[in-house]
Amino acid sequence: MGLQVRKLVAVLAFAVGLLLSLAGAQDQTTDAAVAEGPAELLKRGVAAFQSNDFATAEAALSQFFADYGENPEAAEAVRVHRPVLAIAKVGMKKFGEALPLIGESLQDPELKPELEDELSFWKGICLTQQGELVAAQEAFGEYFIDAKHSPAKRQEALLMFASLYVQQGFHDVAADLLKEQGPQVLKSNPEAASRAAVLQLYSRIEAGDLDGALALVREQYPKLDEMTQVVSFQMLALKLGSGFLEAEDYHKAIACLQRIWPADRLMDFQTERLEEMHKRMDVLKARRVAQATIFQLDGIIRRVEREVDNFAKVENFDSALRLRLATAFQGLERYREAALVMEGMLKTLPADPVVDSATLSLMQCWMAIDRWPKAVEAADLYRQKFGDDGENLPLVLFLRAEALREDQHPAQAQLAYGEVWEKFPDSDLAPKSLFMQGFMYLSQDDNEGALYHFDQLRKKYPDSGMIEAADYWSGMAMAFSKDYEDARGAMHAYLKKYSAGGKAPSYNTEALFRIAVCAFSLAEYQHAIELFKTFIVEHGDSAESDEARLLLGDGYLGEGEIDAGVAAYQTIRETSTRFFEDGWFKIGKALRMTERVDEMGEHFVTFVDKYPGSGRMPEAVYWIGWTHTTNGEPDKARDIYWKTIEEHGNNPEMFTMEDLFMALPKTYAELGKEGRDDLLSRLERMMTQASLADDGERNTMALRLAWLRGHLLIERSEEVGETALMVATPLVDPKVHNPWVSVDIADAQLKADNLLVAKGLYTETRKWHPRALQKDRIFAGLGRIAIKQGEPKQAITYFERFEKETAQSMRLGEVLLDKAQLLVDTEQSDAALVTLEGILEQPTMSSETKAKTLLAIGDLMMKDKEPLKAAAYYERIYAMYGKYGPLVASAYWRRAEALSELGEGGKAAEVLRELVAREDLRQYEEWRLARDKVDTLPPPAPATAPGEEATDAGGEV
Amino acid sequence: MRRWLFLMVAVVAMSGSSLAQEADVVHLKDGTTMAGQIEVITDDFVDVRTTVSIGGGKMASAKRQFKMAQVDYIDFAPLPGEVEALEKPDPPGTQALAELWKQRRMHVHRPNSTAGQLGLLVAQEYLKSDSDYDFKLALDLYVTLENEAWKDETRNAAREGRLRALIALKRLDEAMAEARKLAAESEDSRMLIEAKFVLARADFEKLKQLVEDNPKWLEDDIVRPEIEALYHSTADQFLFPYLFHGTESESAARGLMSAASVYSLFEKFTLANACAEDVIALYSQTSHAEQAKKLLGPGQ
Repeated sequence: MGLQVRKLVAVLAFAVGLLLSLAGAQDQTTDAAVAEGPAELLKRGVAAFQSNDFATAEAALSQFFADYGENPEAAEAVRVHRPVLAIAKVGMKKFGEALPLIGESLQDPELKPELEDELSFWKGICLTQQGELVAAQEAFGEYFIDAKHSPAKRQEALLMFASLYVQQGFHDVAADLLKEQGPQVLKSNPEAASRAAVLQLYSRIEAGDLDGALALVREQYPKLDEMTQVVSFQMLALKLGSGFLEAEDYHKAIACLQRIWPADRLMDFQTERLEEMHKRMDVLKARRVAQATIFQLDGIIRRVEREVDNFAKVENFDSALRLRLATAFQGLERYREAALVMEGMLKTLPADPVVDSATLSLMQCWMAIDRWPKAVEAADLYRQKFGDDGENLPLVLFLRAEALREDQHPAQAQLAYGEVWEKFPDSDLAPKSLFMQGFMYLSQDDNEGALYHFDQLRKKYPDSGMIEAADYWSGMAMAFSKDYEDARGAMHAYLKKYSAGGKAPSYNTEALFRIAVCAFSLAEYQHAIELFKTFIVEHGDSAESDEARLLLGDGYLGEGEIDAGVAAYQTIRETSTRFFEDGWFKIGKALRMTERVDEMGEHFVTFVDKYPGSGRMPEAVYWIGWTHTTNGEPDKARDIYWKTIEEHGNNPEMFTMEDLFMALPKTYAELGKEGRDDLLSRLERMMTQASLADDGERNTMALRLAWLRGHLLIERSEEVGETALMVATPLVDPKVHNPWVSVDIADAQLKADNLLVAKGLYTETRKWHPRALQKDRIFAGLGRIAIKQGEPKQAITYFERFEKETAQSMRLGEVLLDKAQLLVDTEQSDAALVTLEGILEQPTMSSETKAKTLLAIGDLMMKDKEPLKAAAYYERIYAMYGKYGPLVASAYWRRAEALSELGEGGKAAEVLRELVAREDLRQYEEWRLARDKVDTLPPPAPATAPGEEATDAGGEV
Repeated sequence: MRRWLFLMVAVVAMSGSSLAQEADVVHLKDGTTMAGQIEVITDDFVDVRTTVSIGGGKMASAKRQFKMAQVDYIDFAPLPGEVEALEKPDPPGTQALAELWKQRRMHVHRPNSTAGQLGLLVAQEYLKSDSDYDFKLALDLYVTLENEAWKDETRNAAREGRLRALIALKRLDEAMAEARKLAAESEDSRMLIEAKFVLARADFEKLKQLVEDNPKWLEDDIVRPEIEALYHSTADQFLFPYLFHGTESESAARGLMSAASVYSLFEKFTLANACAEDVIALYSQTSHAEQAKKLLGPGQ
């Protein structure tokens, strides 16, 4: 309605005012006490109404109705002003009083359509306010159905109609109505549509139609920035998501929670919308538009303000929301996703109690998927964020220590456990942390450190449940320190202390076993035998029982009771492979000791037959051969090797065959050169047979034969032998064959400068056998290939991998020397010097490597124009490593050069003379050069007499 | 004659009328416009020729020169096929687009020019090919647009496109460096998602190569930690849009299916299937749903 209705009211009031002017005159004459007559009352009422002063309007018009309402002369004025009074009463929120006036006005056949529109709408509102919900719904329904009514108010009527269903508890009906009618009716009014969406979402949730609610959340999400009650909508979505979470319907919970904005965004947006609504209200009021619109907007504003106030009071909204999302992922057992969400919380949200407790879940999620470094990182982030105020700091630090332990960082874990009990001595976690700290010492072979911490635990936390473990592991620490007497005492004390009350100690089996082991280690064999026998009877199925059987056998042998020992070994279960094989070989040894050679042979033949894949098979074959040799049948010894080779030599998976092949020449040793020739002939014959095999399935055999042949030939001539190895190249498949063979062939190829073939073999061997013992040779080879191919950077990379991955290699020195040379060549003198000095610092380096290193450092110093330092390094070589002739000869010569550069010609000449004096160096080029040089020098000056100054008579060298 | 010309120009300029649809329209900073045919345009000035009817079926034409400093922007008359190319969902093909781009290329830096949009379309078409030559053309085009386009949006899109072109060309180190820079600088979630996706893809390529080079990596104490770290970081990165921008459906679903590929490479099929299930449960309307169904097999 708005302005039109207001104008209409004014026009009518003016006309009626004229009509009533007479009546006003009459009043003045009849009752002088009355200040205003009907005309004044109407005039004042209408004027007040026009200026939105409903109180005055209502008072004046009510007065008019009371005083003149029954007067027939005023009938027209009453008819005309009834709607005005009705609206004024609404303006005063006197809905009950307004209702009859509205009803009567609507009966008026002359009521203008604009007023009819306004009053029909107000009827619904008044009835609603009066709690007459059904009647109100009817009123709004009628309003909505009539297409002549204001389109904007028809939209509101629909919303009111639906909300009245909600008020009556018909949530499903309301929701369906809004879903069916809303899109079409509210198409032109996104603002009203958004309120309809809020109402529908509420209704769906209340009606239990959660899937429908979720569909609505999804549908509305892209339109959130058009929404008036965005906080309401999002809070409902949160409620919905939480409901799904509780119902363990995790995907739906995620879908819902993903669509909720962070608190700041929500608040900023809602506040902005509120400001816009206030501005709109001001405009509406200024325009004096229909009261119904103002009333509606006012209602919305108040509702939104309430929502904003309530939302502002919600604590930790963002963290709680994110935690719910993480919980949904946890529910799906998606620990990575849960952890990433919580990690985001920890990194980006302010410190609050939810983030605090979420950190624990975060660490547990990382630990559930073995991401130990991430768990440690989370703990460190937690500490950064919460400092020492974190509610869960002790547990976070403890979990951090656990993660470090699991990640195989015992030294760091040890410190981390220590931090827990030192910082939080009263925490429940303190005793366990102290124990674990001791245990970490133990795992690093620091038995004394472990004992100290276990002792601290007893002193600081005498009532802790961890004491029992500390007592047992104290005994173990003593045993690891070979302090068997004390270890045994500690174990006895442990058993006594914790056996009270008929309850077995937690480490009962282990302690009993350890006591027996201690007795054995103290060479108390008889006592140990008794203990082991008892242990086997009482704990026959324990993890320790097979080791006990082995030690029982050893005990018997220690006592000289060989048969009993053999019997004990025979009881070891096959499933305990290591102990079983140990037992088998010890039986063999027992048979050998008792000179039962044939029996021993049988014993090992059985082993080879039954366990050809065992790593100890070649050892068994060796002992079979030994029995034949002992029996004076060396041919049979060789035969057993050949027999085994025939049987298993073509099996590429049996890597022990290479050991057997390599042991073969020893069986021919007694035959001298002739035997070697026989062996070579046989190898060649078999190679031919293997290569000629139609199906090509004898390749592995052919390869092994060729490989052994190559090795045998190397002893005669390196070149011939390496050529023989290279011949085997087509037979080798690094993927399946023993890396020993592949790398030998690759080395031979490298020596022959067949770089591509060598590189292929090295690369493939490393690829398929990352733990190959030959990895050092692989990296060294690849590095040298890179050097030859002019790729020094690549070579350095390989050498660095060598250092990193095979630091224990005997070849380390030579590789480091190569690396240093590369660094020198690439103008990285400092790095080269560091590398070379590193070699000198390593105690395991050979003397020859150290001598080469000194020479290299000397050369480096010369390159860097430091001849004085260079001379010192050179001198150290012939002073300390005199047996390495070529190096010593070079060192003399180069020192002389260094001294010469320093202008110390005399000293240089002395050095050269010293070199020439060394007859053992005569074979080297430097010696010859020095001799030639010395020949050109004047003879050395006589010894200087006291008081005379020495002169440098050496000249320039 | 000079005077007449001036008057004519003034009339057209003042009235702003006779703005024939196919005319170029020069918008001046003072709010006036000049419709006509641009005859010469440089970065210093523009010559516009206008033609008006002077009655009796006669036409008069006038040429006016503006300094570029006076010009706010220019609406260039559309080239034949240009409107369709820009508006239709299916572009007309690389060659036609490239021709349009060629004609518009010189205006790429001029405000309101459509050259940038055309350039992006052409580059996009190049990227759909499978030839390195086309990828290189796309890369060059993106670089041009990134450096010269007048519109921020075009430049951003070009930067994103450049990443994709670098990946297509397998210049992964460059792509990763660029994506890292982009991820660090960008506050635009879409750009951030794209940048992180590029990083993840590059890491995934590296991961696949590492696994291929080290089939026994589980036994390799040195390579194993490297592979495990890369495996985790790649999966984490792919999941970024799903976890932090879950309503970006296409990106989230793409990330989930990429994570599924990472899991599959390591034979973690339960995890891979879980990703596919997420796609079906949460992103069934996306282009990745079909792939998810395939992964889960019949019955899904």
